[in-house]
Amino acid sequence: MSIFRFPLLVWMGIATLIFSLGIRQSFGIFMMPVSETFNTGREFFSLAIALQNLLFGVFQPFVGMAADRWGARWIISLGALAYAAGLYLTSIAAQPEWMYLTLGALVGLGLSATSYVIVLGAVAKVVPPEHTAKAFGLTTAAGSFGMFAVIPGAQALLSAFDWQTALQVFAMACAVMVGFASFMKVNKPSSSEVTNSAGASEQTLREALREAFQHKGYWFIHMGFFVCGFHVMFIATHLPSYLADKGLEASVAALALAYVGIFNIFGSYFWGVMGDRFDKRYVMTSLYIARSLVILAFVTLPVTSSTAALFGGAIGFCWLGTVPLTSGLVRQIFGARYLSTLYGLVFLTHQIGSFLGAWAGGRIYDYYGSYEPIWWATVVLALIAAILHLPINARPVPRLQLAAA
Amino acid sequence: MNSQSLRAQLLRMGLLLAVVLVVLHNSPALQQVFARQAVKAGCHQQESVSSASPHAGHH
Repeated sequence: MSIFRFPLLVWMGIATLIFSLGIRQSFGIFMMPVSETFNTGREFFSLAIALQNLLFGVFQPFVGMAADRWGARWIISLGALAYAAGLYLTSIAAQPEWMYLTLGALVGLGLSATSYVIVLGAVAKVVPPEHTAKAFGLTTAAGSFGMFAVIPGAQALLSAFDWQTALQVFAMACAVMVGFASFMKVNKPSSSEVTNSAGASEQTLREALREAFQHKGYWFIHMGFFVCGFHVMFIATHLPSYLADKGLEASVAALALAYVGIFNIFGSYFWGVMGDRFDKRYVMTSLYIARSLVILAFVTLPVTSSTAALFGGAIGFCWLGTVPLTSGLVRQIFGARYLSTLYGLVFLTHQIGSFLGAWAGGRIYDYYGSYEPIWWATVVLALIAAILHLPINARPVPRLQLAAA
Repeated sequence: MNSQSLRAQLLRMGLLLAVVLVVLHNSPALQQVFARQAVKAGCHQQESVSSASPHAGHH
């Protein structure tokens, strides 16, 4: 199925991600002007962002449940309004402590309602199952693209106006997401998705959770995505410094990192396409093995001006492909009805992995005084994640099989 | 051109990637944008403030 035949909802979801994640990626350039305005140093702003990230993860499963219950359209709309309110209130904050509520809690809530979990949950309900991973891959790639697309605009705003005005412009941009959401109406699930063989009423949220929690494969998916979060945090935290330590010229290191970004976008889509064409478990295993081989080569072979970009591209290509494959597996096994709930929980596990990865990475570096153990740890973890996906029973649950019969 | 065979899709992806890389190689500004944000990309909760660069100007 051509991507241009995907329903309008898919493209509205992509637009939502570009705005939501793009604005979020721009917050870093606001730290200095905001800190200077309040004359507080960077702690307040940094803590507000850290709180935002934490609440983003904590809110996610519950916002996912709400989306499955009341529909992604309402959740994205309300989330966009919370996001806009958080940005606007930050712009008029009289005290720096306000930012914990505005930039931290409100924007964190807004992000959880306008990010991948909700959008993918909506996309799953309108795209045929055999094309879901490709749609997820496209959505993931577009979200990654959005993170780069908005930053030049943010820098231009800060150059032309004060940071308060820039945030207010962003708040208005958030309100546009309400417009996107209005086109994201999802029809009621088909009977094959909601009734069991006895023709009983639609599966409840509690039943969906019980079904998933009793499925061993669901826990393997959790473990694999935990490793992904832990794993990628290592790389994300240490890659720029590692390149700098190798004595590469700044321009060469920048090109290598730019390759990470570009290949991340294409890789997300590629692995999604593969997930529709081949068994998602084996594609996921292949992805993690590829990651381990790339990092192994990265650590053992000399990083030169010639190979830096190659390494960057290879690592980038194996970066976010896990998103369409993981969410695609959850959709394949449990159906689309409660995807935001079930994938939201998997995402929370991923964020816990990221948190531990950031913490453990620093501890390991401080203990050994070197990046080498970190890189070897990522190789081993990638292989563990590859193995974890093999025993997953990826067949749709009996409820779906009986309904389709 | 509209074929959805795997080979056709991969070929289109490859061509688009090649065009993007040519543009990237000819645009230092684009390289900087991608370089600063590349490893922060994704659904991972990266601490975006750590990549903050001095802003161009403020009032």
